[in-house]
Amino acid sequence: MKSQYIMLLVGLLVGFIIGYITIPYYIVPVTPAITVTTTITTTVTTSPTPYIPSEKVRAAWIYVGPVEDFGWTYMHDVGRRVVANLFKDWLDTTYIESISKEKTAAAIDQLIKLGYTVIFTTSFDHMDPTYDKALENPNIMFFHCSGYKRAPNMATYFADLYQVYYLNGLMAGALTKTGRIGYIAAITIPEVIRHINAFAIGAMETGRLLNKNITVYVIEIGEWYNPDKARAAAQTLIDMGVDVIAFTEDSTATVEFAETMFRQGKEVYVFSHYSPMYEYGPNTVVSGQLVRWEVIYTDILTKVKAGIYTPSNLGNVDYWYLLNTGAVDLGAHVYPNGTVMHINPKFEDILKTITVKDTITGETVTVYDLVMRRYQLMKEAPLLQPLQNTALTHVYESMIKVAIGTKHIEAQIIAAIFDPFTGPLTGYCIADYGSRFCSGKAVGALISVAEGERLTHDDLWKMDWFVKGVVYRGKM
Amino acid sequence: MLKISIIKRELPLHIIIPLRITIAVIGLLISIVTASLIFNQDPGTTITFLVNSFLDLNIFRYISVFLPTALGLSIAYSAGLWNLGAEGQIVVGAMGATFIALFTPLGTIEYVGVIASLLFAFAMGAIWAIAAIVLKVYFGINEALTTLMMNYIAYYLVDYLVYGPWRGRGVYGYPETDMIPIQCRLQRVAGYSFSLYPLFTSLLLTILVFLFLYRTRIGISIRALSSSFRAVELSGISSTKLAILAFMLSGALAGFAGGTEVLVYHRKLVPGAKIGAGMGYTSIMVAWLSSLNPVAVPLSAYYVSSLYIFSLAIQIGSINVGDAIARAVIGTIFLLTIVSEFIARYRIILRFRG
Repeated sequence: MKSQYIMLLVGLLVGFIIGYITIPYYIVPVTPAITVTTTITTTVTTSPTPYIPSEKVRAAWIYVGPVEDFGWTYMHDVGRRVVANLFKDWLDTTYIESISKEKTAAAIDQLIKLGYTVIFTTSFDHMDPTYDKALENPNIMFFHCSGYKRAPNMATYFADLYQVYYLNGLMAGALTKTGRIGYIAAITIPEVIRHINAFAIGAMETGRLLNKNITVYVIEIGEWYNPDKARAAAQTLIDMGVDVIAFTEDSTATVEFAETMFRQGKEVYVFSHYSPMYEYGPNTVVSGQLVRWEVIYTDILTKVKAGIYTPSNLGNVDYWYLLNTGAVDLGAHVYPNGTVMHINPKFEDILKTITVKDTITGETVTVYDLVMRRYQLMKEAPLLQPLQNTALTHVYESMIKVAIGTKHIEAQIIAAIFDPFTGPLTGYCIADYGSRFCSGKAVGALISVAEGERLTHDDLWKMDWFVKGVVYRGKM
Repeated sequence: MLKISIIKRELPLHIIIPLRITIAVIGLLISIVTASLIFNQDPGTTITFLVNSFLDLNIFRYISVFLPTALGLSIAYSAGLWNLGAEGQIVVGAMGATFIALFTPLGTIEYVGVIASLLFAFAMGAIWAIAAIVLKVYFGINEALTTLMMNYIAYYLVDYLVYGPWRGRGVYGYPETDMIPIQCRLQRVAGYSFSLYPLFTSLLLTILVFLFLYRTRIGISIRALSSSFRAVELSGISSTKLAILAFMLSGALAGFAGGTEVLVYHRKLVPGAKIGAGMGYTSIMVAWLSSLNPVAVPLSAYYVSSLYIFSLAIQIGSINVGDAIARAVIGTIFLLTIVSEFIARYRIILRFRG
């Protein structure tokens, strides 16, 4: 008796499912010209209708973490808020937070159902579901942050911090007393590896000029957001004698830990990551990396609004924005008036007392000036900035200038004349992600980059080696 | 002095079921209206979202994980054995399916690849569960603890593989394998994120598990295990073998759920925590909400899955309460559901004594 009861319900449910699912196959949009006959023709030719940009743009963001993480997701949401307020006449935005990989597809389905036509997915975890949904929904435009899969209606974007990490490294090398510098890495994918390398290149540059023997110790925590592990890693590094720490983890844990150490009488310096964390460590935060996603979001959304981006031409759109675009910046604090504090005043004074020889000009300058000079070199190199937003033109980014040989101008500069990833560099392979250096080589194999050679976009995106002087101390 | 006594109700099933559903629905409405008022939302809009969530087809994306997993769990729990390791069993199932699909020639053969992957997922889930039950029946080690700990071992095992030997060639160093061959991928329903094949297989399994537990001698003995190991022994069936069988089936079904996650959704192996994503733990609740009755598992899986979708829906657009509040609301709803179960089964009597 009782089981029949439930069986009936199950039966009803199954019937409902079958009915519901099979319906879409019969309600194929029929063009008015076709007269319906009793024979069902299955060949439905969808004539390409010209794309007309809509009056109002409805955009949605999918975040991997909580908005309050004060790291990655927080800054994406700051970017969203900027465009939402700026374009409030024609832009309607929403977001869903804490969406892990297995929820992504359902979240996208929900957004499409509610009429959002521009969808930003902001984590590598979202890549595969976004790609699948892009193929299924050819009229929706997808923009995915940090991945490598594109489709006619799916573009990719990223704001890269390696130049800023290099500048942070210059300061770290000048400030360290022990010569031991720490780096707390989330996951050693190429993005994080190039940040570690850029940081180490900077630290060793000033270290060499000041006759210090610099070693950068790396601890990997295996997660993007885990304050407890970050704190434990920081403790381990400090126990090893490290006195300057940089990190890639989406919380303020490392900064707060250093500040606690400072109060207990142990001086440890840190570089804030991603968001302005100066308030959490006014005595210990030297500088840091800031990101301004609104630079990318305004560009994308105005182009969507203007009809430049359509659901059929995004296949090669790939933003890879560096310092000269304004999408990333050097700093750890944003003043109420919106200006950025590049270096904590406390450390600015210290850095102004240390002098080194600028290897480019040969002049003797303070470390503060050195940092600012390098900053300017990379920041004010905007000549052909559009090279940074399509996949096809990334190959030109590693070129510094184009020789044109006219009478008055022999060559025009098209990119920053300085980049930290310029040879001579030596290093060793830590994995095989298919770079031209480590492809097919064993872990530990030595590699070198020739004098004057600048690494290309592809080299940086597949980076699977550490520069000499970086020591990997394991994964937590 | 106040005396509280709790008395078991003896209500016939055809009253209990509508009663419980009514209580659950009323509880749902009360919590939704209360939450809406607290967060200054229009209760009408929230209820519309709720109804839409219950009608959203994407719930099958979660049902196809919860249904087989909770079915398996209901077998173990019917035997009075605490399998808290569905999460890990899902993860190793996914690992098994990926292994066949990606690293054996079977993966590129149409149909065979899918079937072989899923069979191996079944096997891996069963093997993972055996470890815990063997420790239980031969060494008396509490299976609740071992299964729970095996979840972490499963996570780390898969993490080791995707960070190490199985890391894909074309993934730019991210910890995941390459995509499984096209022949091994299960077709999804257009516009949604689930596939019909595993769903129908799960419904078929529901009937099979029901017939097994209620209509076969072994199944009935498994259910009897929960009341007395001795009684079962006396009937001439080895309780040890029964316990191992119940656990194996339990693990195998969770493994199957993990296998389908790879073939339908991820289509590659990713770190353990991203495959399981806590769904193995949620399945424990799904199993208990159905009162361990296999034919009621689809209903409770449907209910829980709808609330998963609801938690997404209430974050979007006009409501936008944020993930934390969405989860709190869902948690309250689950709590009320469990209270409704209690009320349906027991009566609370307050007596005052002078």
